[in-house]
Amino acid sequence: MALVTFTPLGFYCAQADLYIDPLRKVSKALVTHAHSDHARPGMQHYLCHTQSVNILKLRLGQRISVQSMAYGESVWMNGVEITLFPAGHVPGSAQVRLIYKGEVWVISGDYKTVGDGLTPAFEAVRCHHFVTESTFGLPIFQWRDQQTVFDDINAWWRENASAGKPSVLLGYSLGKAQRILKYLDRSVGAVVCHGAIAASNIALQESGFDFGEWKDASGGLASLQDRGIRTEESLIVCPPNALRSSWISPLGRYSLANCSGWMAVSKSGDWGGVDRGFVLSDHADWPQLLEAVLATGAEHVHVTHGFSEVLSRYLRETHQLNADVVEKGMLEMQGE
Amino acid sequence: MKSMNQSDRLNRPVWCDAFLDEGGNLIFPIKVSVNTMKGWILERTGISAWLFIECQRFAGSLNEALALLMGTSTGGITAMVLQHGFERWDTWTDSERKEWFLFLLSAMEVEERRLLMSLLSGRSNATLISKYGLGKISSVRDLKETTSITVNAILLYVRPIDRMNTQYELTFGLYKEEGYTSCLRAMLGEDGMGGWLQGLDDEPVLLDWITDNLGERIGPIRSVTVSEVFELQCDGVELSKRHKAGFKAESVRVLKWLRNAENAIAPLTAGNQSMVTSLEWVRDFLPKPQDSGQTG
Repeated sequence: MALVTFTPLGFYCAQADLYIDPLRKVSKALVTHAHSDHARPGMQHYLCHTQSVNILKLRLGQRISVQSMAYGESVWMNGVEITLFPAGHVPGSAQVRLIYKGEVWVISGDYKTVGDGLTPAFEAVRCHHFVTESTFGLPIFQWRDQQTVFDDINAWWRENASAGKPSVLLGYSLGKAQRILKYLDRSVGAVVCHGAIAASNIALQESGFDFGEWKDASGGLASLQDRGIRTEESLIVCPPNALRSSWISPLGRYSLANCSGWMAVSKSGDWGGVDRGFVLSDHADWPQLLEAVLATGAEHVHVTHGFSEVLSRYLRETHQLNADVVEKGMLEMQGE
Repeated sequence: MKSMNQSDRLNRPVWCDAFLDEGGNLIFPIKVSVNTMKGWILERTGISAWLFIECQRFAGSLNEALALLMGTSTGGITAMVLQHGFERWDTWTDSERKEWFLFLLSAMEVEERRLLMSLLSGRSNATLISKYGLGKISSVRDLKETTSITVNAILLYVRPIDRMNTQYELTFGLYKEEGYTSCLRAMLGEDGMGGWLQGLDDEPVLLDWITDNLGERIGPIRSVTVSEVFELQCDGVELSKRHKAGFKAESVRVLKWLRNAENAIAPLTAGNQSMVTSLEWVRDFLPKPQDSGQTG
């Protein structure tokens, strides 16, 4: 029997009785990163990276039982050696390496191989079985250098500020928002964060991440004027669901942009009402996926959520690897 | 008949937004067949056909898949394409368009460029045809001459596709020795998505006319009153010994319903061919097959 099996609850290591990113309530859960499709509430015990602890408690409650470990540190469970390696996806994200009787598995969670200057860079780990994501597993997805994207964002912001129009930038509250914050040009105006992002920011700052100065708008946008912040010149970072609430309404007319990998394709459906799309993703694009898979030297590749059929067929045909698709329905497909 | 619809779709010309001729001048718009465009992309990007189909399915359009793939395979998308995308072609200035096409051209081989130029500028009816089908290595390409013709043909038989009489396969005949020989077939009726298969203005009227004029039943086929003449266009016309009519045609399209019955039946009585094209004319028009031994 294989060391790791694919069950309806998630990836399961029977020898260690450990689930990795489980979907339902289990006793022991290893969480690769704190995004809601990987870290779910209700587990008896959590195991995660040190820098994920604060954000995990923020999202799942302060009273959860959580044990943390650093990158490269090993934990032994019934003969299985468990080690975390940086995945480069979001702050605190990790790949998991499981070794038992010489058999090596790496479950990568979500990852990107190009460093963003905020999270520790991806590290390729040699293994026999590699579990990879395929969110952007099509050749049409090829990211540009992130600095050129941030130059575009800053130029767009400057343009709006000179026209006296507030700029609203959509980004997920964990990872994407902090990556944007780090590279914004503060000379244009103030950077304002939605309450959900502000909470993540505080939790991450406690974990030792630094992404520059920002203003908290959890008290409402109307209160900004009292604090002397000119909204016309400011850039407001908020998660996509904030647009559907009354939180945004004091702003009046504003320019809206989205920061996502899906912005590469004009018809991908995420465009609803957005003036400008910036192609920036925390996931690996097509060349990065291939690079990561080949760098591990794995003979067996298991492809999960996204374009898993496409990527696994490509790996089989072009690189002669034993690539298969992890059963559909086991892991739900999520956007970012 | 088995893959008539499919070949119809693949050989249907698409509008290429623009291209540069050999002198560097912009010429647009131009018609290129979907197959030509796809074959060209597959060769340029070096990905297999199934992978391209997946990309196109997700991107939603041929243009966008082309822009995203072509940009990346040659070392990085230009900022212009990524920012605006191929769909925003209309908003580009002439110099931006020219830059984009120069970039595209620079990615092509010399021989390929010459071939595509001759295709696009309409100097020859040549079509790029892969020797191998989808899914195989398609690096060897064959240049094959094809011909398009426009004829007037008379409606002989119909075959109902569904019991609701919303779709028919029509069989048209050409004039031959004081009679009509069935030669060309085309689909007619509702396409099931709220549109019409041929896109004629009077297509609903024609459907009603067929229902009223059904005649003898010959297996699944019904004969209709021999009186209505249509202007048809077809591509890929070649002489063929396999076909009863002596030639084959692909992607037959109904251009117009010539509603003039008196003239239509004239050839039979008066011996002239004022309306219906004769089979002899088509055979004479087509180029004779060369003795290269390659044609099947």
